[in-house]
Amino acid sequence: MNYHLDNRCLHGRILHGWGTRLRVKRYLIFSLDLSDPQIRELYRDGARSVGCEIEFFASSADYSSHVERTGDFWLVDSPAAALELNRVEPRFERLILIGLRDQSGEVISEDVRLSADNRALLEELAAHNVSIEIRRFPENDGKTLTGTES
Amino acid sequence: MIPAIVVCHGTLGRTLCSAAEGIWGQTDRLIAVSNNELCGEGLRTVVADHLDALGGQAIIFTDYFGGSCATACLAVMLGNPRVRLVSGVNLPILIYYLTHRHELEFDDLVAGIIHRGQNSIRELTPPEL
Repeated sequence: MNYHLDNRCLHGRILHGWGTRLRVKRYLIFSLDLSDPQIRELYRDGARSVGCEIEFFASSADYSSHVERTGDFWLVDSPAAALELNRVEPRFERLILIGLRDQSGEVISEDVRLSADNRALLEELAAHNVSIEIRRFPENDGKTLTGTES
Repeated sequence: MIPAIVVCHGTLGRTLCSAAEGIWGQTDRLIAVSNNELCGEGLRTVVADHLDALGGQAIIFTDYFGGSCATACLAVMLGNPRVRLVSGVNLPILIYYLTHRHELEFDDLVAGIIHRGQNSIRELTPPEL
């Protein structure tokens, strides 16, 4: 099972570049910070604009009770959320890093600038047997955090 | 798949195509043309050459109805039913085009593009809860 990380959360490339190709029907957003109902509603509007549903999760306890469906697309908005989500079953095997733009981070790729804190969190995730790859679009080759082909 | 040419003033066409590529991914057979440093006849020739290279059928997007780009494109499409010209190109239009260009027939694709483009212009307000 894959999940995806982008700290811009739901945006155009995910809705169109990923969602259309993967025939996404429902976005499942796991975020530790996204509590503002108006912001959630904006994301809901974005998902609706492409005919998709959206659900938000803020704790791993909520996640463990959800029922997986065909066309689900799991999205987290921070490495901390990815780590939290991985604390309970069913665990994810692969994290696809679509975008992570830490303001003063190390430039890893066009869409990934990684701070030391977030690198440490991702390394902790990798230590839990989650494979992590950077991927701009579904059809692109994945790259590792060191920039090599995965 | 129906190809397209984006004919705009200055660097607008190239910038729109680049932005669309950032959202959609590969945008093969979507070509940007600028009117920079071209007279009307020169622009017509460039657009006509691209159209030939694309097999003679395309949607041409242009920015401003009544401007030199639209005028040149109108001249190119004269008498050619395999070319459709749409003004007012914007990013939602290009994303719609890229999403549906493989699956819709020519007329349906153009109709959908126009609907999407017109529908994308609206006043946005914070959502009501």
